[in-house]
Amino acid sequence: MKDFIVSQHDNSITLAFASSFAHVDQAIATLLAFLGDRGVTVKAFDMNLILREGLNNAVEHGNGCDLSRSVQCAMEVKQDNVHITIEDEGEGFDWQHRDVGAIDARSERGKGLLLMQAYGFLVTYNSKGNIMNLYKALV
Amino acid sequence: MDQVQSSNDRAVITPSKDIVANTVQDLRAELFEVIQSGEKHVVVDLQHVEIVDSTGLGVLISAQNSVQEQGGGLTVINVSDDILRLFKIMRLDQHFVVQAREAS
Repeated sequence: MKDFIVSQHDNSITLAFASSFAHVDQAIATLLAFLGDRGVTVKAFDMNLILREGLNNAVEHGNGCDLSRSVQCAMEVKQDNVHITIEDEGEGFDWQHRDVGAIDARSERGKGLLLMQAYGFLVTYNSKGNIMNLYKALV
Repeated sequence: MDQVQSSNDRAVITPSKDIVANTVQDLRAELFEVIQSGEKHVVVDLQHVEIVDSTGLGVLISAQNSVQEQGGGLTVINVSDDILRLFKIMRLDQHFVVQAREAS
């Protein structure tokens, strides 16, 4: 596959890219530009941060930073929310038994899911745990 | 290129770009070097930084944990409003010293 593929429609955009953090930066710039072009009023910092957490997670923990594995990301702007889907080619994880836990300022890891919830994103997974859905309400 | 200045038990690191997964290795190496050299007071100046992701937060937390063991502490200065909010949500303002960026 090509390293970075974009497919854009009226209210949706899909990306597919090889698993690197450099591509995460490119994906975020593309997705924020898509939202900006459509006049979607979300706080850019918040969307940037949460997209980054989801995409970094897919690259690192899902695909093990294996460039031969791709990350797929779809974003759809609906009337009252933005729906983001992030899919990796990894084995998934047992999200049903994962404890998000309390905020521990001394801990160096495990903050991504906490951040998603703290910034008002609803998070769901498929049963395998390799597809994350993020929903952000539009106000 | 990040700027690193060191004098009188105090090192100041000024990252030139955002502290995110794609770029965090530079800051991690710089922090490791100044802490290994025995600096007790480490300052990270975020004047050029507009976002820190959870990987970047992990590096700052790790630096504070290490420098604290040497009897010192981490101070993060010139923090934007958005990053300050992030630090407060994650309660990092209770873990190391945080100073907001002055309004321009």
